Amino acid sequence: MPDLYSPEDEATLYVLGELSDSERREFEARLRQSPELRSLVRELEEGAVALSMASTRRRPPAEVWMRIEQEVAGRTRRKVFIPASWTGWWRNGWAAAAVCLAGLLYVLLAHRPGSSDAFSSQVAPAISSQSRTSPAPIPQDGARNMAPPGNAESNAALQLLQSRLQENTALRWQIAELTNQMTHLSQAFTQQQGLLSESSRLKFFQLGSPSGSNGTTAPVSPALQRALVLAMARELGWAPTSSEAGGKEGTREWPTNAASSSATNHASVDFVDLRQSSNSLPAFTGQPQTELAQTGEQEPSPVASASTNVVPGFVSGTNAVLAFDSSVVPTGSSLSFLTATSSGQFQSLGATVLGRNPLVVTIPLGSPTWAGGNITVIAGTPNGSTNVLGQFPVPGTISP
Amino acid sequence: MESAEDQTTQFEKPGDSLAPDAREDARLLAMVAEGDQRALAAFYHRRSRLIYSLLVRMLVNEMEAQEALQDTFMQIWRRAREYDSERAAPVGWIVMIARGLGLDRLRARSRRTAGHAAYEREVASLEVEVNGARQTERDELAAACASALNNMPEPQGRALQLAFLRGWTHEEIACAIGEPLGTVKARIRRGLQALRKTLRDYHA
Repeated sequence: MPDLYSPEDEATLYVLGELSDSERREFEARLRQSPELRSLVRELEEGAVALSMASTRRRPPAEVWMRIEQEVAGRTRRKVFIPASWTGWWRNGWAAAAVCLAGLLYVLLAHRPGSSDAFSSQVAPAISSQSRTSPAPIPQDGARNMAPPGNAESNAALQLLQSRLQENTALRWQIAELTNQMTHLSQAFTQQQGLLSESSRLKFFQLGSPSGSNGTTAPVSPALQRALVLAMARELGWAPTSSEAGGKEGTREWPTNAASSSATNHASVDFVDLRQSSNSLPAFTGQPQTELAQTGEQEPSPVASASTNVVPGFVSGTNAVLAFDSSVVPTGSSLSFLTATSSGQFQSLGATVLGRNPLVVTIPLGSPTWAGGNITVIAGTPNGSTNVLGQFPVPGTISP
Repeated sequence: MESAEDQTTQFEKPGDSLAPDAREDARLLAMVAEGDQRALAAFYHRRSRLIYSLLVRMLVNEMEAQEALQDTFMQIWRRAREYDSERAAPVGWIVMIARGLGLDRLRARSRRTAGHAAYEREVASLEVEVNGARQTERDELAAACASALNNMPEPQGRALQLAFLRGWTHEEIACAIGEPLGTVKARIRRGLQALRKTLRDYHA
């Protein structure tokens, strides 16, 4: 070390790590002998700590501690499970056999009936309360509970093993819980499928106009909602049907072309049942949309109000129920219900006219003649234009 | 290796600017020396932000700083038995370990040329790091130390930071700025002493 360095300079160079190895050894020898020099070094080191503290404070990502934890665990594990005295054994293959045997014993013991639950009940609170990414301060008396320094490594290894066993148990719990949830979901799904296939269950749908392809539909009007609720009540037997109502309900001449269909009014909702006329339907041949269009004006005006609204309905058993009001088609519009037979011909299921009240039409689906085909609903407005309100498939075995 | 209690009593020295935190640091370090992983976790919880902040400041690279932080705590885990409370406060000991590992990485990057241009570049990088700091936390002690550093005469603050954070020798700094070696040595030493006083005043 050059003679021009004062003890202060030497101490500074020592703290900053600028001394060579031999200079450092020589300085440290003097350091041990001189309290003043130690005090000076300590003072400068504290200045270096203050300089470190002047750096903008940052929190390291949690992954860093996880890596340290893993590395510490790895070192401890290597030290404990592969001690130097085992290396000869290892070469001969006996160690491998012993480790396999130990593993087998552990698996057998850990999976004994009852052992898992007992162990889990002890370790679960520890797992849930221990944060791996933000280590908690240890208790003040922790030092007194530690093993002697000679057993420190094996003690740490035992702690590590215990923590791994705890993790294993927690993971087994999670797997079991997820399996249970999956089973419940599967059962619920099966139940829902079963409910849908029940013929007595109501299945709701909406008929959209093929011309309304812009994807926007108006909400079902309150009057239609009320009509649907009444229709459901009738289907479920909660409200009297036309045959049961007797004199309580108003029955009037209804402008339908199905002579034997019934038409009633219940709570200001008109009900038309096409079921009674379904077996004596006149044959309807040709293309319904074209022919109906030709019956009106040469250049029919579009039905703007009907193009964006949908016709709500539901299927109950072998019947389809549809509800109409002036939000769907103008009052006074004629409604025709057609079906295609398996031979490709069209048949009329019936027709009716929308009055001032909301209208509920019940359509039979049970005829094998048109099973598997589609039912088409066509509206003819008072101004002569026609519009296809929608189609819905008839359940059956014949492919459309 | 001394026991935890033996070590902690040694920090009850009058005028020791690190005494308030040193007792708990020393207790944890003694437990780490005995292989207590929970003590290492607690020690990391207390000191990782300081060390990480220092390493980011030195390396100007967060990924490298994270690796160096990991290396630092692995060294602490392995070398805790070597810690001598007579020679350094625990935090001083780990700051020096971290700084040494940071300097190793700086040296591994490239061979440094200690000319005036390099000096200007290093000074500029120190400024950029300060202004571009992200993910920061409020810390009164850190603010006091930063204020003390910023209030130093510019040549003194630069020399101190280049020496401590970038590993420049006194000679390299003197050569780069064209000033006498003695002047640079005095600046650095007095700068460290002034910062130490800030620390002591804060805890007083």
